Amino acid sequence: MIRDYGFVYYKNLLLYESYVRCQEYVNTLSENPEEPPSKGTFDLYDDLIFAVFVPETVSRLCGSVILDWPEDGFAGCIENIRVHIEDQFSIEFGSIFHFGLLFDNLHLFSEQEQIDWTLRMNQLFEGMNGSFMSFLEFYKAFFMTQFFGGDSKSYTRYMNHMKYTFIIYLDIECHTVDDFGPSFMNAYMDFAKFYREFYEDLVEEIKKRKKVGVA
Amino acid sequence: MKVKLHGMHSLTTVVEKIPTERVNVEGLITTFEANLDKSMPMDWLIRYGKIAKIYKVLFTQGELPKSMLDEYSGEILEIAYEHINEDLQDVMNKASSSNGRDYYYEFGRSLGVEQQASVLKEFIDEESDFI
Repeated sequence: MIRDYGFVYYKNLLLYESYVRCQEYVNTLSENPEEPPSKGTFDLYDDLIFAVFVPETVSRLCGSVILDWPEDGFAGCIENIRVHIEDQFSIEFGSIFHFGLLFDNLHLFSEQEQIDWTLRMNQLFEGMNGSFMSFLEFYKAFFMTQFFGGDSKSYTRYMNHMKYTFIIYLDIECHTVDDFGPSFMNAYMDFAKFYREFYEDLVEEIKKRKKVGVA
Repeated sequence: MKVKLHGMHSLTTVVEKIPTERVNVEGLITTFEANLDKSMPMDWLIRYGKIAKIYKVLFTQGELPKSMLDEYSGEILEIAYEHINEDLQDVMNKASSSNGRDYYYEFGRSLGVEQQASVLKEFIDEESDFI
């Protein structure tokens, strides 16, 4: 017999389980594990409002995956952009993935290897849906207007940094819960795995090259 | 050898046709069974079975046990999530498939029913208006 919970309940339950599953998987990879979301945080019997719980869940997920943070100057630049964008658009910054280690050590690699690493970095994000964006594209699309003064030197000098930065953003008006449903979580689990592998390989490679350089 | 139908000859002038070849029913059935796998990909059937099980447990118990969640891949949960509609009865009814075996069963059953019906006459009074 079908119990009379309504379809919203079943949908929310599967959604919740996918979050827990994803967070648990990410925790196995990460040094700073986060608690999976508790059932009390959202109402299983009601239609979920995107803005209430998705941003928090996603930022938690990203928080336990990120291995690399931008340096102070660039972090300030991102913060500036964030404040302005969140003020003017219905967009919220989910998380920033900055590949600073690769960017700082590019000179250790030959030209072909640079292309390979950059390609591999870009491929990390291919499986994800449209909520991921290269930060350079994001900057050009939303911020590089006269209205914000976004084309000033203080921003444009970080354009190379931006190439090695990716943003996951949440559009509160356009995205729905389904955009960050189980399919997103599955893609994110893959991403988290490959992201970690990417850094393991990169650190190994850089160590090797630095040793050779010293010798 | 000609088949004799009692009394028929005197009634009609139509020439009877006798099939010259025997229909190899067994052979037909084996061919059907052999081709069955080609028409129905096995992994799809397995996946269908898993999703149906998720729905069954979810709709009857109201939640999924942990062991079940661990067992199933994310992809299965993803499909299950996407296909929940507003009308749950629809979900239960829609995803159905036939692998052909039920057709044989139905055929056999109808033969059985026919046979029973033919015997039935003997047990019913002639005045009964049951049939």
